Amino acid sequence: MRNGKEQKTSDTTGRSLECRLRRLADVEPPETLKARLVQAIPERADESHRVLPHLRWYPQAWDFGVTAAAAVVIIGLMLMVNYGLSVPSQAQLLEDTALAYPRWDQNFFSPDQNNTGGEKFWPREHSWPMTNQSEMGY
Amino acid sequence: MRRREERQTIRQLRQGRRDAYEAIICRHYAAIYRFLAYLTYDSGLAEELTQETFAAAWAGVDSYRGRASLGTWLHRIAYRKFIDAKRGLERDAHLKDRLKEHAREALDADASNPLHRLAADEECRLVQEAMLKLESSEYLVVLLHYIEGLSFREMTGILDEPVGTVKWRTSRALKRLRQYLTGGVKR
Repeated sequence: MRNGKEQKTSDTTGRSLECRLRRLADVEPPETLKARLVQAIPERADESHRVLPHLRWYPQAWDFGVTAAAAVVIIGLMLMVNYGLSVPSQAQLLEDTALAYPRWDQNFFSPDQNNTGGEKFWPREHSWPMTNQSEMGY
Repeated sequence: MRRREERQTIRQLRQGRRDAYEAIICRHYAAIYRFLAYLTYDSGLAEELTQETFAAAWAGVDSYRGRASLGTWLHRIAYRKFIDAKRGLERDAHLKDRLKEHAREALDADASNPLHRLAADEECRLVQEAMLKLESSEYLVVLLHYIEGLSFREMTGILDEPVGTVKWRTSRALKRLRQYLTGGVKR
């Protein structure tokens, strides 16, 4: 008996073993099981799923809307804090206005003021903006 | 069942259509029962857990996202049901070590054994006995891959393990099974 058993199992190669394992799938369920499962199918308590299927999306849509609104409010607050709705003081306004115009510089020559036609408007005699004329390449 | 058909079935299921429920039962109940029968070696418990599996599936159908196939999803629920039942047995009667013993006994007794028809075949019986010598994790991968016919990727959805680990475990289980069958290892 034992020899026969060993003989039967000794030729077990990989392929044959897999085939033998697949043969084990031949299991039949009890006949009554299917009927019992079908009998246990639930009657959907929430008939709205059948009648108004779109109603089931309302809670999700509500959640999404609330989340989006909260995000917008938070971002708005952050922008208000950073870029502000603050009212500038009078002194600050004056200072800002003064900074908007360049200070008078007596060494500044514009081409129109110089009235030199096509010549360079840099005054040769003048030391500004460069003190050494050789550095200017004249 | 193709994925498109499955998606359509799920849509119908969510609409409460009875024919969709019945279609899913017809397609999957035998596989789920077989899976649980091999896990429990008890026809009564396997039937009970199969019913619980489908009840849980109906209750959780809205949470099904469709990432895994329906079969994989149902197997996953069935496996969770088995784990819960096993935990309950261990807690109540300290039967942790007796499950395999019960399975071996069930191979001999044909009254409560759902696999008795296979056990009558000498060759199948040898393989079943060899499977019972495997570690539980190895037994599970052999059951899922060779008997249930799930792919390695589908198995990852049930076992929560990477594909590589599942492949390696299956290969090791098969090697060990071959050793048991050829008498290389006694346990």
